[in-house]
Amino acid sequence: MNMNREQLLAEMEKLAEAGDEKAFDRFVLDHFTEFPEEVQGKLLMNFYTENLEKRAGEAAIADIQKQGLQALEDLQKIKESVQKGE
Amino acid sequence: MSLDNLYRMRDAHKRMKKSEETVHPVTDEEMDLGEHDRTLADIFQPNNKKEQDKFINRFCYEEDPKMAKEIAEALADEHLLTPEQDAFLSKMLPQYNLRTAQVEQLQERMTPEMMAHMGSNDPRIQEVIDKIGPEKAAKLFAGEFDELAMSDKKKFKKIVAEMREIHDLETHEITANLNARVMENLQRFGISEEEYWRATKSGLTAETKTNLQKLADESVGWFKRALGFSKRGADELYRNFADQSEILKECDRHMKGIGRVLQGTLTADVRLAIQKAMLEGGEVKDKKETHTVETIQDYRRAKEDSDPNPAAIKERYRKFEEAELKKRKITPKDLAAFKAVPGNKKLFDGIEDAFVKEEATKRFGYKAIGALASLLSVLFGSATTMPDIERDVRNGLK
Repeated sequence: MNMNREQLLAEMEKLAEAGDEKAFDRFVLDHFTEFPEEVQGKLLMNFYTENLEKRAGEAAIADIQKQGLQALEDLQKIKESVQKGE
Repeated sequence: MSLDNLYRMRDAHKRMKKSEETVHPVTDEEMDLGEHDRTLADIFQPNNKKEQDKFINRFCYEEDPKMAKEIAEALADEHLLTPEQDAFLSKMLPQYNLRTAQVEQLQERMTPEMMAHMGSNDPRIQEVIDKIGPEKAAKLFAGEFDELAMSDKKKFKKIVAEMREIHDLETHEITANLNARVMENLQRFGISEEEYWRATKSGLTAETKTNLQKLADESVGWFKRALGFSKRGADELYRNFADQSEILKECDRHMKGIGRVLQGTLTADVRLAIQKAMLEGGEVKDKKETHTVETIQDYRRAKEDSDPNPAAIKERYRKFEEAELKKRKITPKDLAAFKAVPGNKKLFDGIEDAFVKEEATKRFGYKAIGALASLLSVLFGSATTMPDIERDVRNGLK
């Protein structure tokens, strides 16, 4: 049976008070369609931005690794050229 | 220089500026403002209330809440705008047109296919898609994105920057097995900097976390210098160093600096510290905003401070009014007599307005992360713009 706004709020507050984050997240996902559309949109956006942030961080690390590897190659070339006395 | 030339230069400058700005926010492809190139007259057509609301109460409000509110009130009362208000709207219009065009470009990417891709990266999104379908998910997401783009410039820019970062990564050279390549190259060049990060090997305490961040900041600083050095050719180096051995020594020093960061990217905790150092310029700062609801304690505080229940609003107003009257040396004992004087109505109206504004500003400022958004949104209901929230608070006082 679908819950109304008050029931959803009461249940979420109960779970949140218990401090069980996983049960809270589970409840929100299980009852996703019972939330008003604007709440559904906010939830989706939050899930997306959190994931995006994580992936952007990984992208930044990949960029550092690429730049670092290239710089190692460049420095090695400089060393070789200096050792040859060019 | 003749006036004609000056005008020509000004127009050329304007064109340059325009072309710089009208590129796709993520892909850098050329972008045409098209139907978004509106004038104020277009926006203020009588049948265009939705757009006016978006422009004034969301976009302009974020830039200057006081000015936006005054303009909204003047328009509602059908008063002429002051020259300052006119100038403000003229300044905001091109920014608004650009933002709406950017949003449209980004929304075009928010297809059911993109939602499916998002789902593959986040099980929560996948579960939502399974429940409501990718089309509905894309529609909801695009709607929320529009809302965010209009009312939270900072977050919008952050999301776009992150979208760019990922787009660049996905569309450029293959990055698979980068970790393996890093390991191979560290070995190849005989670099071992594991010792440098030793403090971070096991569970992090607050102290080791701070130390780690300091190490990451320091090593990122060296890394950037080493990158600069690596781009200088041997010829230039000959001109700047006394002899070959100096150059070789310098190369080794920089290779070690780069190796240190690369070594760090192979460990989860260090990766995070390096990301932070790169993205924040090495500054260790707490990004938490005052009104960010991240925990249940934050939620409790928000509920206590801004409970939308009419009884709670009235109670907060009682205290607010009492404090305001105290400033004017009016005690609760004299209140009834003071209120009975018709001339004092203005004073009470002013107190009520100030209270409503303070309450609405507070409520408007709450941003919840993750699933807590549902709790906050259900608590506060559907009013999300300042005028709607103010109306809500006023209704609570009735």
